[in-house]
Amino acid sequence: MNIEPGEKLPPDSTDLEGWRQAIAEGRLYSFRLEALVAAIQDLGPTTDGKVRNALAKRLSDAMIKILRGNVGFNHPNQGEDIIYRVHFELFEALLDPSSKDGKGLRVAFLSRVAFRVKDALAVEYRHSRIPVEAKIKKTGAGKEPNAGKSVETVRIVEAGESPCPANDGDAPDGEETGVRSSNRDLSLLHGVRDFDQQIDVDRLLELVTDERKRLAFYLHMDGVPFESTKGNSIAKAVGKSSKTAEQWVREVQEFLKSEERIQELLTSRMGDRT
Amino acid sequence: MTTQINAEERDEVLFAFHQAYDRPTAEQIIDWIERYPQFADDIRAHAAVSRDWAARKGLLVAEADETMLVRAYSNALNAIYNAEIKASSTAPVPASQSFEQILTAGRKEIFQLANELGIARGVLADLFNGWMLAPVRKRLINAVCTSLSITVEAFDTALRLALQNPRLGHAKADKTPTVKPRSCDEVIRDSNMPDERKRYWLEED
Repeated sequence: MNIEPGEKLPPDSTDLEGWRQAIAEGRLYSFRLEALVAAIQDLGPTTDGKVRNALAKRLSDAMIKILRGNVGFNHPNQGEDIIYRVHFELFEALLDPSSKDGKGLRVAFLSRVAFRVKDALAVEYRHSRIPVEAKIKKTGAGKEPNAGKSVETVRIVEAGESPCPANDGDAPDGEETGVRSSNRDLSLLHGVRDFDQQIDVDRLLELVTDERKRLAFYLHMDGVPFESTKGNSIAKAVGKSSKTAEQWVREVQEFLKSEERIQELLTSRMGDRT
Repeated sequence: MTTQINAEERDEVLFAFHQAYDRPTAEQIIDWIERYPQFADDIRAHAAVSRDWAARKGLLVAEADETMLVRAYSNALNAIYNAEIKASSTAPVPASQSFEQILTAGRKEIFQLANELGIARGVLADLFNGWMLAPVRKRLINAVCTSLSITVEAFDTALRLALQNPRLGHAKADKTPTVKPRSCDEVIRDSNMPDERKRYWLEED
């Protein structure tokens, strides 16, 4: 095991007395988390409760800090549902040395926790795009209740569309949504970024619930073209047509511009110039 | 089975992608999508979250408050409790033990146990020798189980073994040893205990 500078050599994973002593001397924080995972796994759930619980507390705290740091407050229940779910699932896996995550946490704790929360977020984003459908009973006036009754499925939220203002735009229009127009909008955003005041455009981006639109926007910010016959393109990366990719980017730009804080700063900027 | 394999493969691919790039570029995303088209949407979703995180780098990170740490620790203890139960239920079950083996394991003699419980030695001897018929009084079962640190199931098993293999009495010169099993209440009533103790063990108090 590689020892980082300032890190103490932990007791052997099965050395119960060594761990007792380390806990009594308050040395748990000087050990790698992977060593603690190995200890809690190898000592087993029926080992000395004081040792087991001290290891669990240290690992639980470390886990929850990583989770809170990576789950935004823009998720349901301020992200706490995801945090507690991932935490519990990971902890159960941690206690099972034969599980995939149990093995992974023993080798690379931080990376494994980050991966699981990333996966949970990715899954949530994808699920949030599942269209919401409602069956509406339509009854013909003046007809027999059963004779005129038909059931129509109405799509309340379209698949791939989030109910945020960014989706209120018109359908794609190749002539009106050219690259030039997008670049002009982006330059406005770049201007905003230069302000002394800290503008958190990236946090605002999280309010765009469709992760594919955000990805398209990030790639657009990288300077990736919407379409390319030979090289890489946003269309290829997001798996949509270049028109759709363009529309998505435009929607995100419009959404960002419409945000009150950015609007205020733009106004203030213009005021400075006059 | 196929679903499980797919889930495992998905996990492996996405974890490798997660480890490979903190801030995946279009080229890298497309490369992985072409290599693993079956997980294309997952790769895109992971790429988007990676870019969210990369964009937030350097900004203040939200910290877990004490309430959250405490609640999470409580959940962790629940997970430990579940693992503990699982471990004990999958632990090798010791072979059925007779009363004699249980007494030996507990380093006790019948007279010691009788003194401890305040019961006639003969009652316990009848019970352990297979001369007491079931059902045994609940109070007696509980007292024996507590004193010998065994479960009711272990008691029942030992009682069954005792009844199946009763210890024979001393042989008489004129006839073969015989066993006359009696009911629990009969054994208690016929014992040399004071009436008060009899009533206690007969649960008549």
